This record gives sequence, structure tokens and C-alpha cells, in this order.
Amino acid sequence: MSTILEVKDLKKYFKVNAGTLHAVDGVNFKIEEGQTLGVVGESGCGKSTLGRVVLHLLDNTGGQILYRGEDITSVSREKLSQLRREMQIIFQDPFASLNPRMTVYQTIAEPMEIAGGCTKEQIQRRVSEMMDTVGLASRFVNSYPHELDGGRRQRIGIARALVLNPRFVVCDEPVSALDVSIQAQVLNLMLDIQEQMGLTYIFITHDLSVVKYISDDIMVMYLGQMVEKAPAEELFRHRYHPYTHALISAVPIPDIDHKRQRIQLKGELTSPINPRPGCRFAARCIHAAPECFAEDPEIQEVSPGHFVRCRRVRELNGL
Amino acid sequence: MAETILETKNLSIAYVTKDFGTCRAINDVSFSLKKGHTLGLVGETGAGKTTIAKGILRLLSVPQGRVTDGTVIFEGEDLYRKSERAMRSIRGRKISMIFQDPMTSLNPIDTVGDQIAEVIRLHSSISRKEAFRRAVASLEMVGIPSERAGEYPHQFSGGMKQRVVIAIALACSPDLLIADEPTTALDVTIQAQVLDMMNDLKQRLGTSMILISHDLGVVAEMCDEVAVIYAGEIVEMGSARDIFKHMAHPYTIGMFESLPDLNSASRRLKLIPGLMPDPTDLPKGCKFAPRCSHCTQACTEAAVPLTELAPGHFCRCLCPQQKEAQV
Repeated sequence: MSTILEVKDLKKYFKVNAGTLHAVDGVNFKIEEGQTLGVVGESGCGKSTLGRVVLHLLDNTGGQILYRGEDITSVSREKLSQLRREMQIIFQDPFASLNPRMTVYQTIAEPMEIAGGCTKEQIQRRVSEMMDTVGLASRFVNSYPHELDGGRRQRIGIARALVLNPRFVVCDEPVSALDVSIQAQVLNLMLDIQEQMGLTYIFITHDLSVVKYISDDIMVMYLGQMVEKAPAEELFRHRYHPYTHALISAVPIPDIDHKRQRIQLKGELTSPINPRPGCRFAARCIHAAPECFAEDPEIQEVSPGHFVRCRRVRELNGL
Repeated sequence: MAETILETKNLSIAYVTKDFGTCRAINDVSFSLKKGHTLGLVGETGAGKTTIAKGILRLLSVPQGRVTDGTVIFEGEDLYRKSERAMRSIRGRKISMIFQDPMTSLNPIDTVGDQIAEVIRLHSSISRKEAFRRAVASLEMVGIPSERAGEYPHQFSGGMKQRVVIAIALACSPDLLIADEPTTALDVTIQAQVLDMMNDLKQRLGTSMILISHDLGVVAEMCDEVAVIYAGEIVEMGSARDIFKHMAHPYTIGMFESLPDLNSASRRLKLIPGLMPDPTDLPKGCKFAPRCSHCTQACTEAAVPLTELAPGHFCRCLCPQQKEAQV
């Protein structure tokens, strides 16, 4: 296996009236080809910004994005548009991300037309092939998005992202807008396609049960920073960061005999604008000590491949 | 045995449209809710959950939405025999509703304190000052400090806005609260806070509740009874234990099986093939038959009645599965 994407100290700041908003603040990770990295966090933690910066749809403020060893933040426009064919994105909202005036056919064919070099017949063949792959019946080929339900619309989004045979796809909450039975259909489809095409995914979601199901590795984000990262099974067996604990314990379990031991968090996300030094989570953390507010915590590797950003992690978990 | 606060009897609601014909959104829905209990209405988008809630409050958009059959009995009185004026005094005071999206259900140009006071003043003849004082008290009840009463909705985060919406709904201590997806727009940690608060308030005030949700986890935490809605019908209904531990309808079972489980390690989800039928063109027999793996000839021929499998546990299926939950 080879590393397809490596991100080093990635930063994305936005200038806002009140100061500087630290949307992504020093994130590091690596993804091996064919694997899925799940990124979880609550609204405003910077997970969608991360997805866009990684594809260089937004310029980064600092750090490096190495796609197959090449830093895409410094390549030429031509080279970047070549690379973009291999790197695609599936958006969250199948109601807002499709052009309402384009038919299914036009929507799926457009990336090929932009990329160029294909005859009309080739495009037609490829579109019907893609519709087959994502399970859209051919009778919808001339339908408009508003005529289709959410599940089918999301399949169009997937077909469009995959039509150029990408190697790497960022999936930004692709199933959040769908009902559970449709969500299951789309998730299974995405796993099937990944196996067939050997795709690498970054899967962004706020839903922990979905991320566990689809990911090889999981990264938990809080206010622009990674707070914990581990292989999926490992994270659900041993979670060390107090925020990960709270997040997992907050998920309602569909079992009436489940006795929940919920760790209530105080308050809400603090502002990502001009963050103060110290642990970003300290203000809501039940274990916060005075030193947590003073200095940024270092990332510690508590077991092989399991990283935690908490200065008290060893003490709290008896490691 | 606690007394019944609300009962719907064979409630059927249709939306009549020029372009698409008659859409039978709700068909023959009967359930009853006991005082102090919480009933969960579960189902997918378009199943008709919100239409049922609007039907109870007589808030259907006219002229398209109309009740074609059945009625709603609240505290022994038929709501569909009341005048519009009488309904207005029931809405907000006796029965109130929390709408799904806290971002759009508040007035952006009024302070939150004034918005709560408005409800109180509509239902009781007290001074402006006294109403505002009570508004502040109900804000504190949902955990918002009194000094924020003079702020506008945009100054609050999503979770805080939803608390304001809940404070408005509870301002007149209603007997029945209808909560339509009250936490769907919120993050899980905030959802946990709001659910705990709602449970706590419900216990303190003795409010009965109808909770509409598509999230079975939320329903498991909050509800005493559950009705599963599919294509405008109740397909299964019973105590939370009946539904979560002894589910019998193939749709209920399919819905549980398609959930990704935090505690299992499988790499493929089971799924229900296909989609919910179009409400303007419902199948003749069982509405779920086209997606059901247990479907027989008889299922497609005539409408399937709701039968009682065990005391209080109803299922609309000719071949109920009696599946025990594997936990």
C-alpha cells in the first residue's frame, strides 16, 4: 500500500470582522490508497473546511498537502486541473448541490465535457455505465433533479463525482440528508464502489455510527484541531480524549434497556475566532486543570496509531 | 389506569391538488395518549408524521389539506366540532407545538423575551410587565439566563434557539406538547442537553407529549408508546417495549436492521429495497408489499387491517414476524 495523501500542519484561517477565525488549525494525517479516513465533529469544528482545503478548493493559510508525494499547493494551474480529475467531492445536500436546470444526463456528462478528449458516443456510453454503477434506472436519464427523491439525487452526485475515474474522493456528509433506509442503500453503494474502483475516501460526518461503519481510521475534530485519531475499531474500544467520550456517550441508542451513562458537556462550542492559548476544549471539559488553560496540549501517541491531544490523557486513563 | 388525554379516531387527511390529483397523506389513523405519557411517532420523510400533528391542531393548509374522515378528541371534546375561535384558545395554552427547525420558527425582529410574553398575553389578561416577568421565568426554566431575554434570535446558537422555542411552547403550561423533530437540527452533544431538559420538564410539569422523530435512538430514550407510520398509516403500534423488543412488522424490522450499529462490526448494512410509494398512487393492498420480502398474493389484493398481536400491541400485517431483538 502506498500513501495517497499526506497533510502536514495544515492551516486555514479566515479573516472576519472580529479577528481571525481558525477553521483548520494545524492538522496532520496520512491516508493509504484504498482506505477511508472518517472525520467526525460537530457543526463548526472545521471538518467541511478541511475537506475543501485538502482538494485545494480553498487556499490553505499554512502547511502542506502532498498528493502522491507532490505538494498541490504549489503546482501550476494546468497541473492542478489534471490532478482534479483524480480528486473529487460528493456534497452534503443533494437538494442544493445539483443544478436544477440540468438533466441527469447533463449533470453526469459535464465533468467529461470539461475534461475534454471524448467523443459524444464515449460520453453517452460512460454516462449510462455510471448510472448503472450507482443504481439509477436508465429511464431517469432525461429527468431533472426536482423530479427525483433525495436518495436518487445523491446517486447523481456520486455518479458525477466518479465519472472521471478518480482515485480520491472527499465525501462531505453524503448521507446526512437521507432517511435511514435510504442512507443504508447509499452507504452500501459507496462501499461497493470503493471495492470495485479501489477508491480512497475522506468521509466527513457528524454521525458516529455512520463513521464507524465506513471508516478504517477515524479522526475526531474540535474547533479546527484533531483531538483524537485512531483505527475505527480501536477508537470505539478505547477512547481517551474527554471530548470523544462525551461525543460517543451523547449518541442516543435505539434500545430501551440501554442505560446511558451520558457525560454532559457544559455549554456549547467556544468561538474559533482568535482562540486563546491552551486546550480548546478546556472550557467544557470536566477534567480541566489550571495548566490546561495555560498551554497548548501536545499530541501524544498513547498506543501505536492512536493519537490524543490531551495533556492529562495518561493520568486520566491510567496509562 | 391513567385517563386518556388525546384520541384520534380513524383520522384521514388528504391534500387535493390541481396538478397531481388527490394525495391521501393520512389514512385511518387511530391512537390514544394517556395523561403524562409520551407517544412517539416514527417514520421516514413523507410518511405523514407532521401531517398528523397538524391535523390534531387543525393547522392544515386550507383549502388543499382536508380531513376526509375521522376526528380528534382532546380531553373528551371533539376538536373538529369547535369554532376557529375556540381552537385559537386551545392552541398554545392547552396544546402547543414545537416545530422542527428552530432557525426559522422564531421571529427575527422581536426579542426572545417579547416572543414568549406574546404567547402569555394572548392567553391570559395580565399586564405587559407581568407577562414579561413570566417570560423571563420560563427562559430560566429552560436554562437560559434572565439577562438574555432582551436579545434577538440571531444572537443565540442553534441549541439555545431550540430552548427558546421550547420555552414558548411551555409558557402557558400546556396539557399536551407536540414536538416535531425537536432535536434533529442540533448536534449530538447539544441534542443530549435538550432531551434531558425536556424529560426533566415533562416530569416536573406532568405534560403529556407526542414526539415526532425519525431517530429511533431519541424515541427509545423519550417514549412510553410508539406508533410506526408508513405511507400515511400506522403499521405497528404498542409500548416502547413491544416495538423495540418484539417488533413484528417487516417494515419496523427493516428499519432497525438498516441502522448502523455503534456496537457491531459488520461491513454491510441490511437494507429495505426500493422507496416509499407515491401517496397519489398508493398500492391497493398492503402499502409496504412492494418492498416486503414476506409479501404474499393476499397482501396485494386488499387493504390489511390492524390486528392486535398481544394486549396493546397492534400490527398491520398478514404475516407478522415476531422477531425478538438481538441484544
